[in-house]
Amino acid sequence: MRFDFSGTTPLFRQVAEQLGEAIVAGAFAEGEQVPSTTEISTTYKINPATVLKGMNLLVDQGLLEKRRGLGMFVTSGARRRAGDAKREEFLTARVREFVAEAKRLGIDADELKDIIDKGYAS
Amino acid sequence: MNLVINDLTKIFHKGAAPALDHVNLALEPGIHGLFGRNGAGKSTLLGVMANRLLPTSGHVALDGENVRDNEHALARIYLANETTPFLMPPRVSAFLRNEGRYYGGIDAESAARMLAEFGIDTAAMYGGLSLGRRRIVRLVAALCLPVDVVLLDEPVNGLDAANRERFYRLLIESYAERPRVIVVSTHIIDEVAQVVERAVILDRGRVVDVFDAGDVASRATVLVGDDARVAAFVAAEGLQPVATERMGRLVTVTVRGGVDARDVPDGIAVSGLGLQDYFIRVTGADDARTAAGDGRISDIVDGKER
Repeated sequence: MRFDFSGTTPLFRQVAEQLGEAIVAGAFAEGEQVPSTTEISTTYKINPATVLKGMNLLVDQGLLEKRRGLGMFVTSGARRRAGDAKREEFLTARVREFVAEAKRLGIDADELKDIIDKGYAS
Repeated sequence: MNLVINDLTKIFHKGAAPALDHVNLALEPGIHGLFGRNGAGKSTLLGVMANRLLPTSGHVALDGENVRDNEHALARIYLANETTPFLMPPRVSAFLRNEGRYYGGIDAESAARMLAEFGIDTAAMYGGLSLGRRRIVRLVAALCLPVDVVLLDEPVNGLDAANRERFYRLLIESYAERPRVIVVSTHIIDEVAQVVERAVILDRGRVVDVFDAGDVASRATVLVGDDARVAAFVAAEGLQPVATERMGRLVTVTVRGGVDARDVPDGIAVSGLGLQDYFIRVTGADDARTAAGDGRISDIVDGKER
């Protein structure tokens, strides 16, 4: 995991994103326990409250579940859900930004489609 | 467990500017960052909290008990600062034992383990250690005493980069094991930004802002773009500018609070601020300015002009 401490993305969000990505990548398998709040916070020197906030975000998204007295576990179906969420984010936010930037630079739709087609062909 | 600072003022010399000026704070268990520039009053505040200095007015209460000359409350508060121990103990182990005697016993095993990480043997002669290593011994003692309030005044001064990292990790480990009120004062913010949970900003004896360290992006926003366009947007949204930089027609305006990027028209770039940058803006880069209403963010944070 890598964190951008001077960046503007809140740290708890970065914690959630990094763990989410690790789940998509299969680094933490479904049903498996993820490192504890303390483990993550001491390894990366991040306040435990921040780490917990990030983990709770993943609990809200249904990617992690708390098992009382044991810790946090990857839910079944988490990998697919995390992948879906990433796809969704790409199709809404990222593509919109991309198109807006192309418009700003005076690139029309056909030109953009051409480039995308080329990208897929290669 | 809570530590409440109630309308605390400290004036060292009659007629001089107060070192602390009506400070109010409530601290719950957590790692708190106390940030301020040189002479902002950080050490004075910690000194009063530990009863090493007497306040001119106001008081500090631990769980409702005034700490002033209160042995019971003071046995629960430990301040680690620049001062050397009253009687230089011969060995590190003796220093740890002495501190334990005053503060209800020390976890000698943890202390020895932590010191070993720094390559310090408890059998070493305290006086033979370098200044940086003596400081490490005092910090380790602070973390291994069973107190409820740990005050660390500029803890990483004189520590090399590897030892600073090590210290931050031990600090978090120690806190995770036993949550309590920990206050870390420093003017080096970038390094501890992610370690602290709450940030308290002190400027010229006054608390100018207290917030969740993770929420710094919601405290101020930077807008960059064409002068006229940015000015029109700032006016239309009723935003409060706190700093403006010009370069030709390109203007960089820092405004108070968060701004939703979706509300911002094309041609204006929006970004947040890191804790360090926010701190610099809050505590005023130019010391020469004295006139009231100079638009320093600290005035606006308080909601009153000085």
